[in-house]
Amino acid sequence: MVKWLPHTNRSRWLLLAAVVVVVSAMLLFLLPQKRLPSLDSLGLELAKPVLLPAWTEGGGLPKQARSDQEGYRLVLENQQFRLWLHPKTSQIAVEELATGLRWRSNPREADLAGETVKGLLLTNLKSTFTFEYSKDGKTQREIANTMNKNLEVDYHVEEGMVQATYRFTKLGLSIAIQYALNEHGLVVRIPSDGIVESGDRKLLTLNLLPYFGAAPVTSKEGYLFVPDGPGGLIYFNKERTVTEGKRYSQPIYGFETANRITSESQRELISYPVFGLKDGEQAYAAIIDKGEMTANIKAMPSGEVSTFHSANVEFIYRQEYGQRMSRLSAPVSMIQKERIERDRVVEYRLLSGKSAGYVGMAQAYRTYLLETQQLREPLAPAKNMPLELTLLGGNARKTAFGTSFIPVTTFSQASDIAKRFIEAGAADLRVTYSGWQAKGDYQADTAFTVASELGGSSGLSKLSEAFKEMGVTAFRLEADLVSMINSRTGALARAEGIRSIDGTVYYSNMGEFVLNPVKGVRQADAWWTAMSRLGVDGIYFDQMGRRVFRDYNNDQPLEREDTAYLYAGIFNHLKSEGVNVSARRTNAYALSGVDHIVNMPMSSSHDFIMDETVPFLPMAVHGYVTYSGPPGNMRDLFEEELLKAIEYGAIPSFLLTYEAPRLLKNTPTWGVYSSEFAVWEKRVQEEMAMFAQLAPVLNQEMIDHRRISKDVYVTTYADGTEVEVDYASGTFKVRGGSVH
Amino acid sequence: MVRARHSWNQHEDRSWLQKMSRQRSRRWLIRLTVMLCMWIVAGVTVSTPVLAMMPYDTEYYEYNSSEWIYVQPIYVPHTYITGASDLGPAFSGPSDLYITRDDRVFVADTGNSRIVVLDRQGTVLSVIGTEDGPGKLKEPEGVFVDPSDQIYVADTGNSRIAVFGADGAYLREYVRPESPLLPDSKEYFFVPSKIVVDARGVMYVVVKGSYQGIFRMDAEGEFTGFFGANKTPLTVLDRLKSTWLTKEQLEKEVAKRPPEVRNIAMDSEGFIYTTTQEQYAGQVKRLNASGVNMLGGPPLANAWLVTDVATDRNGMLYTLDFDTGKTTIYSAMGMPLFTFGDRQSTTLQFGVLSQPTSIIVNSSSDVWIADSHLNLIEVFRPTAFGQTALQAVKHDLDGNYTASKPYWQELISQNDNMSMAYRGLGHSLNREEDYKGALDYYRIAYDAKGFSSAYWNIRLLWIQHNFVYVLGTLVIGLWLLLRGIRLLKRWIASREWPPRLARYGSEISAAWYLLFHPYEGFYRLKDRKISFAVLAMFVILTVGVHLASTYGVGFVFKPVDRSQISLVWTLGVFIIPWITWVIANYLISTIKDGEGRFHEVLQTSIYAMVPYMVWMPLLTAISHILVLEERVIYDAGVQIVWYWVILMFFVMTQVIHNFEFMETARNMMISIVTILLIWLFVTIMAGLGYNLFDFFGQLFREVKLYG
Repeated sequence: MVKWLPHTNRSRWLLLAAVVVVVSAMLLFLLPQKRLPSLDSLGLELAKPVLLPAWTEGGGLPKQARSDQEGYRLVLENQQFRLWLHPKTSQIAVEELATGLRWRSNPREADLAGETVKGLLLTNLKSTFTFEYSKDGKTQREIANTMNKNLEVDYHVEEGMVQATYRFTKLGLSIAIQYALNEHGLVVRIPSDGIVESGDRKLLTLNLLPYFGAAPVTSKEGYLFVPDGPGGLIYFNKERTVTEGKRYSQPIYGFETANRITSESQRELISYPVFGLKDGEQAYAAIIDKGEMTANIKAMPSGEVSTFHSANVEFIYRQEYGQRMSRLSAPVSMIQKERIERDRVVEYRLLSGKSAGYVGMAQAYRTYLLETQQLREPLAPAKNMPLELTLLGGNARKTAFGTSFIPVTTFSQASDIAKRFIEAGAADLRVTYSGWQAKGDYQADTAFTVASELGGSSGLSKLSEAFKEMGVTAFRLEADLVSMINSRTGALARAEGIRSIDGTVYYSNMGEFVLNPVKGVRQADAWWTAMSRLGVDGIYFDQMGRRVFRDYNNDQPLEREDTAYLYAGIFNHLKSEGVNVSARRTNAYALSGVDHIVNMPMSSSHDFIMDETVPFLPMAVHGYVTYSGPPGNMRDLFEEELLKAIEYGAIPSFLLTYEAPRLLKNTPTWGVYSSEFAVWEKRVQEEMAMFAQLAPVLNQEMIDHRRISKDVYVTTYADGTEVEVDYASGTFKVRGGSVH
Repeated sequence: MVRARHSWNQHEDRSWLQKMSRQRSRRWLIRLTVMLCMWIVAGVTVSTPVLAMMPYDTEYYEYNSSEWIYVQPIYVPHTYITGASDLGPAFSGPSDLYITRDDRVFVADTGNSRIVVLDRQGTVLSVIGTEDGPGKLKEPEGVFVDPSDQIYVADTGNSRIAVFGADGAYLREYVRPESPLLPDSKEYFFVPSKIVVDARGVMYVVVKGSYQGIFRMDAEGEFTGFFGANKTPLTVLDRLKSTWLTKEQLEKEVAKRPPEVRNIAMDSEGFIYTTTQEQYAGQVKRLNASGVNMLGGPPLANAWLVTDVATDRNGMLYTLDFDTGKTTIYSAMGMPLFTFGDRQSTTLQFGVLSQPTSIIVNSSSDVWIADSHLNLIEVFRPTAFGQTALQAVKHDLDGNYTASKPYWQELISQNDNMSMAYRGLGHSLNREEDYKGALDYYRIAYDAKGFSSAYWNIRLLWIQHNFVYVLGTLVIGLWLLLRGIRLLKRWIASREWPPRLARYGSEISAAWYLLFHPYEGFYRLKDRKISFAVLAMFVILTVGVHLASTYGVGFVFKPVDRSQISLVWTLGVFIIPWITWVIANYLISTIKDGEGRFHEVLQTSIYAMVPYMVWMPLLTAISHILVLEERVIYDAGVQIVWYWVILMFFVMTQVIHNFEFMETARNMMISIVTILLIWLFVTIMAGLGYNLFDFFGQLFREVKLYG
């Protein structure tokens, strides 16, 4: 028998107190998890992608269709273009009605006469696509194309679209390609449902229209355009004697984080899915509309695989990865089992005459971004040039007993710095404050805690008040929420870290894990709630704008598309709530959600193949979103990069600290070599003065860019303002336009 | 070490890459290129005016911590030279470069069997050795030009040295000379690959596959002996073999050969530089006329496969590493300064090398690197930052601290993390007799040597000013101390203490007694049970003293950031041997008929540390007022303390277990062996445990994957 406590008043009170303690402890334990907003409340439901339809029956080509003398049949037509299709070879040609110019999927028979390659390489030239496949469970890659002997092609025309279904009878593979016309040119789709693998051959990659608009070796005036950094040109008229690097092939938005095998040198990752080709007065810009997350952009100048200059997109359907069986042995190369089930859509925007060039391509891309709402309203006219100032608060370092936070810019020092610049005439000062978390980069959780060494929450709140008073136009706090340092027990990584393809928690080479994007965006919103309470009016995202990766977690697997969707989604969600969002190196899909792009790519990767770097990306986005290059105090070549920022329409930016950055030695912060306010104050003011006359063009589209001599470039804006930059003399001029 | 997210720089941290073994396999692409009219190229050089994101890292050598630390680029890719002109096609496997005083560059274009002469812009001036006749070259791998503009070519394919006049006309050749000093012609092949010629016309030839050293030949073509040969590396195993194996057995062993000299260069003063690969030391040697290596300093860092070496006009050394593709700049004394560059198996980018072969530095400090796989010469130009750094270092090494000061100040305004610059400024201020300022800079730089010399002056000045006070304070202080102790003793004796405190007191005074009377002291301790409180206090005190001496020793003796000293490690290396000693000593003595019980071993082992406990704080305090030259006082003090402690342990073993002297010595030795065995056992168990753990993990993953 249980002997109950005597029912005295005192014991009752004790019991009650015990119950209250237990319940409140449980609440405290559970509450932090409940506080995160759900994905639904953010308007970011993760749904299965809606796939494009593919016809399984083949209705054939219309019998009464017109034929031309080469044997092409007219299959589609709109106000601007005609689509011709050759029933025997399935090659296509798009004709522009206004000019009569034709863009062909493959070189003409006549042009192939001088071709020296044979076999597969020759038949590739005549194919509308080529693909790699492997036998189930093997890693050996084999190549096939649409000139295959065991191939049946069916056509079907419906709803302004023609579908060619390719059945590779011996391989047990079937692939459907759909063509349609729009007002800008050709749209090509590879519906995921149109791919059927009935045998043991598995599709690995597919090169779509590898020779679309390809230029023969005799073409001298033209180039291939690839999205290297701000934009790169590969000229036709160059002899290439360097043994390596004769072709360009790079993954869009970078290699897959979770299953990267090889190492490579540092380079600018592709941040927008566009490539193009200019041949005389004909050109095209190909924009990958769907399926760009797992695709490579390839460009082959003449002499690499044929005598033709060509560019194309290669879609990846299965990835190769390193399976680590043991901690002690090297990974084994394997191929992903499941096919990536995503539709692939490419828009070929055809350009002729004057717009046949990289300027025209950039304009075509800008039009595309506006049509798809990835760019929205133009910026308001600016009276003053903004100054983007990033202040680095500090970071933690490991000591004998845990960590200690090293402050280099406290909140009151930050206030002083801003004040000094405003007094010096910075009328549009935008401040991003970074390095404010209590444990710096050693913070092993996602709690929103402000370092007390900087002044704590109250100090931050005071700072935002002070900023408002002195007229700082935007005050953002940095949020990373992508890669994180693990806690000592590793519990956080196991609970919230993304999984590699082999199912284990992914750790980077630096020993960090990557926070699950679902958790990341929910946390970001919760952080915003906390920030807004402190009077902050924006967020700067360090990695969310530029990283896409898969999460192979079985509970909720995420594709690269999902990650991009979530990150872009939280940007848009915040922006719609009036938050000032900035992000580093924003990739194309996240453009719509940012007010400012930090560290936008301004230089090439120095590929041997790249002959010229052009401001393609600046031309596409200028006037709709502001952007800056590397901070002024972080430039490798100070003068050249300053001029480049002017040429490319960037706004001045600096990353400063109040104290000397060497105090951050032994913290995870690195690469800040010189940032002390006292050292840089004058130079920032000088740069503000230099940029001041560019304020009137800030809200305008960039309509032209050209090189007028070896070191002199001219950028033209919509109102006719011309900015001429001379790298030889280190000067620039602004002329013309409505203001000057 | 975690250096993680906050790369404010353009690129990601890739320090992990250096640790990764590089993939050597090279997937050759299908090449169907028809190179028509390759030489009809308009521009010889391709200029890239604006570069921002470098395809490689630049690091500087942090000499305090012996680490390479990222800095902004000191060299950037400027232009590359393909060698194509109307005089001939592009380079094919260029393997050697030579630069004259007037900045003309001679290229040994091996694949095209010619020598190409370039001006400082990279324009082809002339081509040598292509005409049929005696002067026709065959795959030359080395070239040298003497002050009278005669061109010496290591004509590798023809096994000779070919000499051309300033106008490029063939003059003469040198083939393998006849000499009794040379090995047999069946064993030694004269295949010259690199050459330099000294002021007297003596040729120093690198002969392929020759371990004997550099082949020296006078102007008449007479062999005058080998020069600058490497030594055969002798391992411990080799030594054992030579001691134990018979003569017959030794003959069957594969002969150990010294590594061959790979490359050779000569500076303006006539010193000859040789490079040798796969050595940990002596990768680069600076040989004087008699073949003595004048390059002191530590073994070169970043230099496993040095393929070439060059000097600039200031005497700085530039080495080129084949494995990493890195160019490393050393001071004339061989101290590493900067390193930059990268190498990849698939090279796409200008600035990243593939098979670097040769390096030169021209009069404006541009670095030219030939790459035999890419078939080009890449030219790297110093940035403003790089120029400042190199100037600062130059003046600093010359001892011209007044001239170096503005450069160091400029350098710090561009990068304030470089301790090199603070040391330099320290030197400058020290020279200006601003010792306090110098001290501050040396402290930032963690430079013990400079700090010590500045401190010496400060101390001297201080003593000069305050000598009387110091002496007075010392005398009075000592008197007060002695008097205080006497008073304290009297007070303690005069009072009646509670029994517990009295016990503690006597236990503590037993420790003091032990310090000077070890035998008697340990005898008295033998049957005594020391209270736990006092033992704990002694342990804590000893560990505390150890920590204080590690973290609190004078700057000169430990010029490192104290917060970065690992606490776990500091405690571990101190406590673990102590504990294992107690266990091992007890275990051995029980087997060997020792009398000591465990608690006796434990308590006396704690008491044995008394000298450490007493003297180390004193030494640590003294270390703050010593300079580097007086280091011996501190070091000797520490050594005496440790000998004292060891002696205490010896006495302790002898007394506690009632051993004889020799018995004690034997037992101590066995105890030490036992300690090592315990550690070995623990290590092996941990390793096996990890393997077992990994095995199950692997099994699980395979089942999951294939099941």
